[in-house]
Amino acid sequence: MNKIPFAMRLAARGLSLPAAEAECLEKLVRDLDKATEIVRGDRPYGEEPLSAFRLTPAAV
Amino acid sequence: MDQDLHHLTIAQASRMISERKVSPVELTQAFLGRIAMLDGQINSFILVLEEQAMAEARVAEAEIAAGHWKGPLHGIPIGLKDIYNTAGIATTGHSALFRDHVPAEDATTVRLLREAGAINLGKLATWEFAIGGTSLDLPWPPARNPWNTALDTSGSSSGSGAAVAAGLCMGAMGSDTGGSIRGPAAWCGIAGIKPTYGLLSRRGILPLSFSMDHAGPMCWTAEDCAIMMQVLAAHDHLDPGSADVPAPDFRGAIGTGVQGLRVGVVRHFFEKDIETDPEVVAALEASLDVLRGAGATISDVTLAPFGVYGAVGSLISRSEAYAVHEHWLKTSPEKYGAYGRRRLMAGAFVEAADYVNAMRHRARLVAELAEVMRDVDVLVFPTARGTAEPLGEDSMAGPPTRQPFFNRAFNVTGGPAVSICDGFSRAGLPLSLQIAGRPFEDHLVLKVGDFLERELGTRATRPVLSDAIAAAAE
Repeated sequence: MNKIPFAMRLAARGLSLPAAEAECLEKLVRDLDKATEIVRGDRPYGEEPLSAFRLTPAAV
Repeated sequence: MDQDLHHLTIAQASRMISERKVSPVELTQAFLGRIAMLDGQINSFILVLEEQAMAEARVAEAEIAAGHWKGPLHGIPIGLKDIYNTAGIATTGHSALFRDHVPAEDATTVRLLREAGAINLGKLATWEFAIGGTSLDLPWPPARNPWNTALDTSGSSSGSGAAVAAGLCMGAMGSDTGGSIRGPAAWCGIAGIKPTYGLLSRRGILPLSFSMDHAGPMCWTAEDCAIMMQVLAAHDHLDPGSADVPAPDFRGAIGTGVQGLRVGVVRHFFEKDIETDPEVVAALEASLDVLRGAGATISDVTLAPFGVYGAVGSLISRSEAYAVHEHWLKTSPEKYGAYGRRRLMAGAFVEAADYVNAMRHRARLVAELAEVMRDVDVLVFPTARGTAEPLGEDSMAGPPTRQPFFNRAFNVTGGPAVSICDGFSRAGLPLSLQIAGRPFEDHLVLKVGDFLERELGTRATRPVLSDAIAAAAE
């Protein structure tokens, strides 16, 4: 979980919003922080590449 | 005749048009009259194109009279979620930020509908930029649920759901990044399909999340969705996500029965992962009985917990949406509504590695689902965990186990998923069922949806808007 105060995180991103909304945004961000716990962690390189950058030949 | 036209399905109306029993002008006049009379109660349209629609209807009528019937959408009145670009007509995203945005070109899907002879009645309400929630601080009011105008439609294709359910248009275009077609379809009691990713072009639709945005139709019936899909499914080289595949015969699949169909029930979604209303579960079990009785085989399947799809989907869609809106969020945040502003800003807090790892996790979920679907043809689970909730409450703000919809899994994995109405609650509100399939087997999920609608008889019950008005006044 991120330990940096939320107001600092917001300012660091160059964003501002009415004070009354900050608490709601912080809750959304906390939810995203929790979501990251699911996708972080060790993964065997043998699984890669699961995602691909794909090109198709140019039409002749 | 006028009294009944708004209750016709597209399938019925197109047959009557082709047989010259009703004309596009009559039909369009009937819908415009109904919009003028009733839409003030549900706010489904933010722009009604009365003159243009009548002009299009007269052209359609002349073409058909001259023997040039274009097909089942010729002369059919539809509406467009106001994120679909329309040449020379404002496309606002229901936002003050885009209030003056007038595109030069139609979205590809709009062009296809126009070429098929559909009549565009106007632009429909949406959650701001397809994400903002049911907001009261935007230039236009939010759509209300025609089953009870004190209730929410859900979103983001809020106007599309409300207008179709209320009989203010015969079909509508919605978009679905995290359930935005299926959610309002469920709460408004209509059919809506999130097609396979890439099957319908997104060119000219205001983007939210490039890897999860889907265009799709919303109609009173699954059969009508199939009719619209037949026109809409086409490769578009201007959409890099567009799949270059042959379009299935959507309408040909309708009515071919479910004998031998293998149905997988994702029971843990609604028995363990999300608290689900017993009425929703009972309607689902009744639907399974109907399928079983018609020769389908039913078995339970296990996927990743629903919360995993939710987490992966949120990280990806919020990041991509922030990338689209970053400049405006920094330079003119005051032009957004409060919901839209904070939901879009949240994406600024996802780190690059977490976005990439969410994409990696997504690929694992796609592979896992493909493995499960070797043994079943379709998956079945509810669309919504309950019926429509009061307007003004943030239905998405609850904990993960009380999220209102089971939609995100198929935005993350990309396959087709249709929501249909499979019954009504004791309070008379629509209940919903979702049928999902393998990529590019959209025709199959629509076939099953159509079969259930017919067997369950849910399409005979329409909202009575005057009753809804009375309920709201109480």
